[in-house]
Amino acid sequence: MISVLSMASSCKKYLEVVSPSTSTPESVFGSAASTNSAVIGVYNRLCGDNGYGNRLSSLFGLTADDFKTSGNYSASDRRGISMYGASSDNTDLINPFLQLYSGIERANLCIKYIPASTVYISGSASDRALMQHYYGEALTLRAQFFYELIRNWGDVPASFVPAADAETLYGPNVNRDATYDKILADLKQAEDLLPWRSQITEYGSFRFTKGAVKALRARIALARGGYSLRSDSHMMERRSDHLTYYRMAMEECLDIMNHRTEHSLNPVYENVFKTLHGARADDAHELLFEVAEYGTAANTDSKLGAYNGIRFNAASQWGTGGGGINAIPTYFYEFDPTKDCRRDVTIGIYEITASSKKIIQAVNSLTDAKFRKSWTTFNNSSATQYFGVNWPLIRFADVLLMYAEADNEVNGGPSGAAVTALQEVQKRAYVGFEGQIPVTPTDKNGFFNALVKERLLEFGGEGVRKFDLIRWNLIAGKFEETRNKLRDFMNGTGAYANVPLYVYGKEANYNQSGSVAEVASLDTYGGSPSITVFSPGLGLSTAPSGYTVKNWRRAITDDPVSGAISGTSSGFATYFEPNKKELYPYPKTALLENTNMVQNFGY
Amino acid sequence: MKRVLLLLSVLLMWSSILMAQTRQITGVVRDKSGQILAGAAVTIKGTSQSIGTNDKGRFTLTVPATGITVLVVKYVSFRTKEVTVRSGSTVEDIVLEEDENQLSEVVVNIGYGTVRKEALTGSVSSVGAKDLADFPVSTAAQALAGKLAGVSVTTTEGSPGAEVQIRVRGGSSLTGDNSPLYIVDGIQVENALSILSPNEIQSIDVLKDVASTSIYGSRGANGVVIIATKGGKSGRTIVSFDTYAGQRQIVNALEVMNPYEYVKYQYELYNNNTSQEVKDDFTKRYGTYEDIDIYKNIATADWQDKVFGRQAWSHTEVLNLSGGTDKTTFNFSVNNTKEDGIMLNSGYKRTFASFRFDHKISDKFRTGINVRYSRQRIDGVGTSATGSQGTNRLRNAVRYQPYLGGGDSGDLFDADYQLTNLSNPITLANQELKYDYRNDLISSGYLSYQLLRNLTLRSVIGLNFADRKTNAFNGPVSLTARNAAGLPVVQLDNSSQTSFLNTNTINYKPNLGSDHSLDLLVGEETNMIDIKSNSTTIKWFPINITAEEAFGSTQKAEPPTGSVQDKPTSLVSATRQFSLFSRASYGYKSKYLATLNFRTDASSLFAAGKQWGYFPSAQIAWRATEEEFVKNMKLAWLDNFKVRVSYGAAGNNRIGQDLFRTLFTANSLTGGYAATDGAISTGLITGSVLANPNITWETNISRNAGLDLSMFNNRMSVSLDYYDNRTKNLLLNANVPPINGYTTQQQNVGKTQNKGFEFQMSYNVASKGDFNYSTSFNIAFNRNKIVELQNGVSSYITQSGWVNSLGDFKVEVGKPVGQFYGFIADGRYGIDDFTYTQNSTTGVYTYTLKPGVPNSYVLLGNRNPQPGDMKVKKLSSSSNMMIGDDDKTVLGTSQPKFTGGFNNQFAYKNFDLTVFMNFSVGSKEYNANKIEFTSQYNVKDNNLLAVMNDRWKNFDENGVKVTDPASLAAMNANTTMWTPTTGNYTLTSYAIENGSFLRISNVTLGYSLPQKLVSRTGFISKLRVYGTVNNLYTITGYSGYDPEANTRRSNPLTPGIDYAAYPRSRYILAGINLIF
Repeated sequence: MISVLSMASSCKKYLEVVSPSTSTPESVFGSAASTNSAVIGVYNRLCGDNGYGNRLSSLFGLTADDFKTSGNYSASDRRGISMYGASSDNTDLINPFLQLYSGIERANLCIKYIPASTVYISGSASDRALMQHYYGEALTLRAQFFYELIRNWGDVPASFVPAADAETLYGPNVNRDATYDKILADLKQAEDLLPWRSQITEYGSFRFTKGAVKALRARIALARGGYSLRSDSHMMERRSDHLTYYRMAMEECLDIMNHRTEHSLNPVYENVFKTLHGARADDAHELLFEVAEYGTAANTDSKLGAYNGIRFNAASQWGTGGGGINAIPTYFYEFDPTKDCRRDVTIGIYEITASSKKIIQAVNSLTDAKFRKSWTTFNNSSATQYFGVNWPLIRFADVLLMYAEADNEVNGGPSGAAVTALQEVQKRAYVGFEGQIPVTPTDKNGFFNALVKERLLEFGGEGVRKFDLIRWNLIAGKFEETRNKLRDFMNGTGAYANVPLYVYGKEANYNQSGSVAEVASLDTYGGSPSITVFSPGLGLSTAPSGYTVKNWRRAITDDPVSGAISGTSSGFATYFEPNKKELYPYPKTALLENTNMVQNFGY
Repeated sequence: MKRVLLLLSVLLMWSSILMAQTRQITGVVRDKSGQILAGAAVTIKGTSQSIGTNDKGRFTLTVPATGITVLVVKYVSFRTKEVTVRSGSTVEDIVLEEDENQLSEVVVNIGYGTVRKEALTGSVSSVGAKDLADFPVSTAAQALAGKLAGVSVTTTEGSPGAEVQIRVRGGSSLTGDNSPLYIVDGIQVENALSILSPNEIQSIDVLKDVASTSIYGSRGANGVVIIATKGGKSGRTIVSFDTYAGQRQIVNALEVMNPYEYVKYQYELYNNNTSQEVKDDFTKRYGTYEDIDIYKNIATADWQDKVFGRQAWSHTEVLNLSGGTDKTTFNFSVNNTKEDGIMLNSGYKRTFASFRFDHKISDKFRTGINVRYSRQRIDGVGTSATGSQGTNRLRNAVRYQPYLGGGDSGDLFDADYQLTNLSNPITLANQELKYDYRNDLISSGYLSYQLLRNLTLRSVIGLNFADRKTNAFNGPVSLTARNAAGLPVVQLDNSSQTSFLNTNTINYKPNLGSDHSLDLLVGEETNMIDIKSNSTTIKWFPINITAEEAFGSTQKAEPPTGSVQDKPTSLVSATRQFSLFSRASYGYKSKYLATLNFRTDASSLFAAGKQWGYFPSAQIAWRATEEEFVKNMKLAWLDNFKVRVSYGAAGNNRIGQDLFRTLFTANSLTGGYAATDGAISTGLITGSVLANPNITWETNISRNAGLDLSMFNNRMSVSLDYYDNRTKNLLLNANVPPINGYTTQQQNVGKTQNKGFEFQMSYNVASKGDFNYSTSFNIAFNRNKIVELQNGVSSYITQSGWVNSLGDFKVEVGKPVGQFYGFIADGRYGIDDFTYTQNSTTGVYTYTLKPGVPNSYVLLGNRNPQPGDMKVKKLSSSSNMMIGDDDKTVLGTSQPKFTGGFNNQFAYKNFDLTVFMNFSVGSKEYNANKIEFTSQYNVKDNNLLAVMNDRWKNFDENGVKVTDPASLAAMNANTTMWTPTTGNYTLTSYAIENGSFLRISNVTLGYSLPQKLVSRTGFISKLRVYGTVNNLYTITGYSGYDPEANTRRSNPLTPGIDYAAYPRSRYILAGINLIF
């Protein structure tokens, strides 16, 4: 009997195989160093092709009245997403969906094991502090993943425990208000766990610190308090308690604004985006959080500047880059043509040719210009797709404008602080013309409209606009307004009476100077673009000698297929339907595997 | 039991009384030629008194002094002889006759033991050395194809060292590995058939019914292949030398457009609704249309011939030494093979030595060792890859422009790859190099001790080491290098596996008299496997570096600014298993036979509490021919009639390690983050598979009924089997809802069923004088069905992945695995499908699809159909005529209705002839090559299959586009194919072909030199010369290279696709067998 028992126990040991290639949760969360690695693993879900390296940054935020995806419609690819006509088997939907939920799972594991670990409870003071930071980061990351899911799909299933501990793997849709409230509470906790940027300088803007968490909480609170397409009513609605969340946003923003040494506006608008490309020029720490991208790999790097951004010819000295995102032509004309420096940072009116020179492009080929191959250290001998460009998740200008907006809602009109906040953003944009910023309305509605416009100008190409329009319930109206503007543009009527049919370009040196000077030195027939795209010009389809004709107004047609206004193939948000397409369809496989989930209304 | 013992002791007492008056007889046992037979068993009939002949063939026995004594003499592969001892005789020399059919004394391996064939209760298919001897192929697996009913052997591609898939009675698992378990001389060896050569195999026994395999418990669910290698025989030392050499050559080619046809097709692409810029590009690249006739005279570059056309030389040498004394026998064999593949830079080289040594320490104590060392090298990347279309290589040899451009090498055509997505196939074949080295040391030893006369202890220890190294070089033209700034990339993989096996058994065979036989076995087994592997990918070598230089100095790689090298990775894993098993076989008068097995296994792959699996089984058999009433029927033609029935369970645990618990692994790619500038921090992550603490054994329950017949003096034998295998608790790598953060979880869900019928027959048709003809035939019908899927799912779509985002397989309850899923081709759109209007100024007609006609918009790359475009059938009932997912249907499966083989062996005087054929009927093959090679997709300057010369014409003889309906109709009156599609590749019934075939897989003609002539040399005892053709001819309706191709194997749910398969070759060779 004894021998049987001893055999059984030795057998048990014999069958316990431990590989040195793997670690148990107990050992991972048993030290601060390996816990840090687990948290790094959660951050990983932000970057790469299916994170903010491409899909979440360059596809999901389109189309709005700033930018759209280039190319012709197909329900099953990125153009389907941009035109609000994605099918549920679109691979560009499922992969980010998977990645976000895998991020939640990774965060859930950290959130379960960190507070339970002995290092967290009774480790050395310094270890305890580290573990608290990691806990705060995990909570923040989970909140960001959920926020991204909710704003794209609505009432997504939500589990806050690791899948292995979950009661079911087949979770149903969960009311987004409940999930929002949970993550807002989590973020509150995370704020207290994480110090300000200056106390943890090694984090830079690549990992979450107190300021970034607060800013994120403000953004999510505004989403919670804003409009969204509701599953029960099939209408865009907002909850009656929305002011609670505006107040929450206002308080968070104010707290950040009261710590100007931690975060403030970068005096040079362009430098914010240059910083993302590697050469750091953001001493004001306007970038509260960047999704860090690096490594020339699909999982850790970004295609920013490769997929989107200013177009670089493959034969140029910088090699290939850009072209995946196009500006809405009328967006170019929203900026003050002479005073606002942001236009030439935001919109790529030119491309770089095979001979490494710049030349103006046709109006339907303008690109987003906050991402530029030439700002990176990569050139034509580098790998072709990944340039290590970071994504600006949230920056201080947003804090100022969110503050202004929340203040206006909470107080029924802008306070002096709100007006100052708006003007601070405008003054940076009107560098050299600070005295000539637009007059600030003082009534609630006027101030709100000024903010709607200002956010369009400030955040173009940063994946912000579409979600702003949704939470304001302005998306349908602004889309209609944009189509009307495009029609005016095509016809040369209204605000576009002086816009030319054609412009004529000639290659000019690409000086890599400041964005405004760069555009000013473009060679277009008749002078610099500040003249030639604002005056009728020759109006001929043949270019003067030495110049190449570039379609301007002529590029925009209302052809039922290829037209840029409502064409089935390349129109402006052609398949958008209000109260239906504000959310994406759930990926088909997600529903096939889980019958407890319900497809979004309208798909 | 007590009663039996009592009876036994009484019997013993009687015999001791009888022994009082005795005499001794001696004798020698020989064969017909006078050769002495050592080890023949001589028994006094009706007693248990028995003795074996010594090394001089001599025996001595004590027999009663008076009365009639009958001696029964038995020797393997000889007919048992009964000799009546003449009264008073003391010397009896006995001559045994060889038994051609070898049926009565054939011994079958049944796992941890053997059984005489007539006492077999399970379903076992066997192949002996004789059936393999005539197959000069480099691995035993290839020699087995079609030989065994119910055992399918499929060579997946034609490349050297290609994977051979072996399935016993279909596959039971859905997403797991369905290969059988291999036991070589008592120890488990992975992929044994690929490292053994046919001429060292003594026998292969395939246990097919689960009741037989359940003695192996775990892993027995997919059948067990028991291989015995040749040992030495006591007597003269025999030295033999075999060698053969020959050439391989591609059997068929895919016919593509010639240069003129190709350029005409390009003209259409460049000029159909395109801008002037594109039209000018045509002129720049190909010249003006007026000069197009030049291409009629330009030499065709047959890339398939250049890449696969070589006559690939190969040769094999085998040296064998065997012999021994009555105490010690040995067998030593050295085998060397070198073969070139038909594709450039591909080949196969293997050398191995095996040594087997058996020794009797005493009459009771035996020991033996068996050591095999094999060194092999496979060169070449092959043509197929597990990735999607762009990573596969056959396409370059088919689609590259069919003439040399620029320089002689053709390199100047699309040097930057951007436009055509093609590489010069020769340049590519010279720049993508892979060397796969594998060293195996397989060793085993046993000790057996006869404790009592009926009780034997046996202990086996096996120790295997497998080291594998793969060096791959990707030159600048390769796809891998293109993703790394066009600089060479090297990948170095190493793995080493150590496995240890120890089996201890006790075998008890009590003597219960002549009516009862009992064989009891209990045993214990320990199995440990440890694997270490590491992998390094090094990018950014200098552009002109050679493969040798790159392998030789990896430090030459220099990442450009802003890029980092991938981190080297390593992985250590291990599995442990412990088992207990027992078997009881009982026979009554050799008439009623029963076997009971029970095995229990514990595996480290499951969580504590889930580790043990229990696998019982029972088999019974009835030999009618032993019944008196049958004997009384005097059926002279019937020698044996046996009915078998069995029921049993076997298990399967072929899953990865640690799937039952949450573990973290370091990963710098899927877990890395650039937490600081210019560096990636490695993260700890849990991977993509969700842990499942509840996983446990998969169980396969099988029912089998069989019938064995021997007739006409054992010249004909027939076996019939019917089986019904049901697998439950399938270890499925099940999809889980993505909202859990994982894509899959190992689960015990779902059920599958395989049922079928097998027939095998062998017949010695003639053995008169100089002429001998024997034939064997087998056929098997298997029906596979998915009975249940996970979580009540009734069906789902899965992707084979040869092209991205194409759901081309449907997994469905009630249906077999591997259903092709797509549209039904409906030819092309004709003029009648459209309404048309003429533009009054340009005269051009525009065509609009009539309402009510299905619209292939999506298939055509999101454009509206025009006359000549590909059309598919609309199957959904919705009023929307847009073709979509609803219009897809099941287009067939790769599961054949039946398969089999037919072997014929002739001998006339000194000539011998073997003709072997195998066949498969009723399967469908998914010819993905055909889809790709008849579509335009979104690239120009790609060639197409010649069948597309028959495409819809939009341009007249002068190169002018025609839109007039009447002219178009007239121009296309004699064409049948559609316009090559521009959309993403999609599966239509056009690509589903009949995969049935009859293959004459081996014809061998041999001549043995007359004995008189040979013996004159004084040292040669046998000399045979022969010629063989392997894969002589395949009768099939299939239009691709090979109807058996199966290239998307990483997902077991997507069988039967021919995509970029390495073409199969015909192998003509000649050889010599020489015995000294």
